[in-house]
Amino acid sequence: MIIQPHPDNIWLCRVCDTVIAKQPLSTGEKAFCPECRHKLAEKNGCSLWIVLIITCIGLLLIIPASVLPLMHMRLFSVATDHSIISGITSFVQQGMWIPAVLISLGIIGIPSLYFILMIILLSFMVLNSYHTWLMKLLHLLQCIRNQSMLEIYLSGLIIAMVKLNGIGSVYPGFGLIIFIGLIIFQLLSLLLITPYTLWEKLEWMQNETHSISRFSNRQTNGKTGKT
Amino acid sequence: MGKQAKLKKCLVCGKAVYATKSACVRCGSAVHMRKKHSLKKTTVFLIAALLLYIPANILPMFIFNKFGIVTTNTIFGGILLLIQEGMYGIALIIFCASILIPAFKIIGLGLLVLTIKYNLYVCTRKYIFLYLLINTIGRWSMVDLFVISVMLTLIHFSHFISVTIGWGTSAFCCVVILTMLAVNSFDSRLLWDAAEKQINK
Ligand SMILES: [Zn+2]
Ligand SMILES: [Zn+2]
Repeated sequence: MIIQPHPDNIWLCRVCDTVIAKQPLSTGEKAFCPECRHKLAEKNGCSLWIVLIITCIGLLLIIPASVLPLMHMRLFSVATDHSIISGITSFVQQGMWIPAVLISLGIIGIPSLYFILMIILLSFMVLNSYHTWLMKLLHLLQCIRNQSMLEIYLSGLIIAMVKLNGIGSVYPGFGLIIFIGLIIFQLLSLLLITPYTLWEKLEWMQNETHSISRFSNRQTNGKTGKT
Repeated sequence: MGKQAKLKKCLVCGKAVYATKSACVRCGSAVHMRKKHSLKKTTVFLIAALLLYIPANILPMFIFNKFGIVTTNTIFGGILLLIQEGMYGIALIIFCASILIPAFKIIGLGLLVLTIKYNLYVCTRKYIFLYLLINTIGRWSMVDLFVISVMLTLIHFSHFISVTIGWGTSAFCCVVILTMLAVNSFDSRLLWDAAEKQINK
């Protein structure tokens, strides 16, 4: 017979279903599953304001990173250049919709959605106002969180640069610096705050609002009882 | 295990819930002991991915026109061309990303599904390592598509030298999407259930 622990006192591993007793974490500490080494929990110490600022910069960088040329090529005194948008449009022009959609989602759609959702969530957390739909947003954020393909695109650029060097002269454009900046800011906002911390924060806000509403309900009930 | 302790995990917010409850106390979403129809869904996605893996390798990825000499390149042809030009490093990267990783994903997940379905020998630690590996390296198979997208815009010098895309790219994209869906619908906790069954037998 196994004694059933209270759900609030344990962690449950999503990979292997192991039950682990919850330990209080200090800032920056992580807890791993003893069976499969999957990360169970992480307490982020970073202030929400810093993450909010990083996320805003990241969102602003997306536009120049996708429009400005990332690479130039010169052959017989004719120059061509490559930007994310021009890559997608040339796929569309040749009627290949599936790769075009996949690239635009992985490079532009998902990162911008990630930044927008993060900004909404973090600003409501900073203002400390709780709404039920924040949880839906966080669920969506969690689903798309690991689907962005920015760093893969960067390695694709490097490979293409080496590959095409035999045909003509290839050199990086100004957009590449912004693109690398975008990758760094996305990585920072991914590392500084994890969904685990966000869920804990939302739960705390939820309990807070519930206790306040219960308190005010009791007060109004008391008043009506007196009169 | 959570199943024995009569607890289940909310896959949305990560909170543990009593097995008797149908919705999560924190986020209100439906909670199941295991993902619903996990094996069936994974099998369907895997078979679809396997079927599209064939056209992805047979159809041309891109058509290269150099002074009127037209060469059609499949994934493998492109790699052979790179080897001929002496770019062994890039050839190896493209080979890993476009051929090895998709094949590894399909075979690896297929192995996991078969193990659970027919209750074969389970070595949970190795298998979970396999699953987590499939989960993390999966996205990198997109790298060749990005290289083609760069070539498409850069090699565009009127009609002398130009690149056209073939239908192989679309098939390849579908393979990537389908394998991603298969990985997502697979529930790794079923491996532990299978191991448990093995011990009890
Ligand atoms: Zn685990
Ligand atoms: Zn939940």
